Amino acid sequence: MRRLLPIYMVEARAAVQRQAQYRGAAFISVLGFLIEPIVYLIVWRTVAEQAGPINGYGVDQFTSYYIVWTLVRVFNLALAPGAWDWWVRTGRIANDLLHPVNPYHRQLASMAGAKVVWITLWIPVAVFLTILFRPDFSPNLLEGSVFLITAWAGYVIRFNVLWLLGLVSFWTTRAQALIEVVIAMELLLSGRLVPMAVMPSWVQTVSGWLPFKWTFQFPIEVLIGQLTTGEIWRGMAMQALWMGLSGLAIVAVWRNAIRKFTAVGT
Amino acid sequence: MNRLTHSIKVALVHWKLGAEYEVQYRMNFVLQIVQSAVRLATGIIAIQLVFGFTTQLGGWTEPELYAVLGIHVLLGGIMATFILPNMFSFMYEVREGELDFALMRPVDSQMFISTRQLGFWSVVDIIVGIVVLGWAFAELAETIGPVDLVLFGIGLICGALILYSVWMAFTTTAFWLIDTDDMATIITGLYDAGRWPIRIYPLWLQGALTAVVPLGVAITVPAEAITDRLTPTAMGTLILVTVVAVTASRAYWQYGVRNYSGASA
Repeated sequence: MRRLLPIYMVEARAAVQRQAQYRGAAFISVLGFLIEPIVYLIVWRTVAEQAGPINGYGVDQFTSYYIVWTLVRVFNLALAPGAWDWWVRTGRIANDLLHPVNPYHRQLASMAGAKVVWITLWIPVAVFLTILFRPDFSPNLLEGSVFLITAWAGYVIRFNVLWLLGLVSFWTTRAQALIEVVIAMELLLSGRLVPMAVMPSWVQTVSGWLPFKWTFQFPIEVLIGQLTTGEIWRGMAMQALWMGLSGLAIVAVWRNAIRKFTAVGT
Repeated sequence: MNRLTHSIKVALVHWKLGAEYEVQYRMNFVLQIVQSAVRLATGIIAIQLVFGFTTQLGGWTEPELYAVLGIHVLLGGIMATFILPNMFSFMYEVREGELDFALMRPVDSQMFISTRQLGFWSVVDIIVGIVVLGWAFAELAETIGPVDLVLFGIGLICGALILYSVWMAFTTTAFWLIDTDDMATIITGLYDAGRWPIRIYPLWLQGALTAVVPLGVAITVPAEAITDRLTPTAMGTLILVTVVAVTASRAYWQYGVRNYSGASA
């Protein structure tokens, strides 16, 4: 771990500098990711206005939920698994395999560093959304600190899950259908589409045992104060569990995946 | 006119070749069905969730929202089949310096770069969209008259033209900006915003989805034609936006080509 820390720092710093160079592109990218929650926010505010609060979520709660959603989305952005197809098929991964450090560490650190710029660019968007929708929540310092821990943990879990999914490209060049299935599962079971409280109870139970909820809904609810202290501890334990499980799965699958890879360079 | 006829003939040859190439990979058909089914299921679940708590959303009933979903899937299928493969191919060629080969051809350059590729298996999305629309039509049959059908048809054509023009305008910026992937994210996001009727959005967002990036109006107005809520103003706006989008994207492309100096070695 001590050996990896300087590498993480260098990769993260390089990513910050890279993203800072292309501020315009990064801002457009952040804007692009924010359209989705704004649409959900408007739809569910409309429903709550018409039907009243839904399992503890009224207009104010939906508003707070989806505005924090935008921050969590920036936090948990990870390498798209579709990129692996090109990376493996074209043999470009051969360059990364020559490095003395596993590409997992370099990419995890690089994406984490890029977030420093993305989060900075997110601030004006958040101000705009706050003025427009006037969310009613005021987190204290403790909630803010716990949120930061859970948001970073959510990023690591999501990064791991998508990395595992990307590794499928070592066996097939037609992983897109599988990727779409997993992304759809994430959409429905993570709180990305709607807070799980809106879902039927059996769906809520299932989502509690899968990794997705711990990357989206959990950090959001920590910040908007929807959880008790006990629920926060349990949630953090689930995050630790999923970080461990997904990390072990990556070690196992990567070893097999890399044996499948052959490349002829020029 | 001869030039246009010639360009259409070239486009048809490209599509025929594209289809023949793609049918070699039949497994892709199965995978496309899985992808289309997942996307459709997600759209249906979102609507079902909303109508689990209310009987209408901003005045739109459940079958009416299925009409919007059907148009969204149908136009999305047209986009994935005819528009996106060509736009991504164009962006790649600008980046790699290969566009010169396309610009040198003795056909209209915009027509040529817009019709070379065909995402053949995305036709599945077009079929799925038609099926969803068919179901919505059956549910709304009592309120749909012949005039509504004609206006719906015109609305769909306008919608497809707007989609093409928006993508064309955005990809033309590849002449100046090398990395246009971020813009593709925005267009995709705005297109997904059209999955719901734009009339439920605040005025600033309705305005943006009508006048700035008119992807919302491209989907909502055809849906209004078959849900008994189309106004002459809305139809007029759609036609005006279509004319402006097609003309402006054409002018922008010609400006881009005039200023393009090539990048190949």
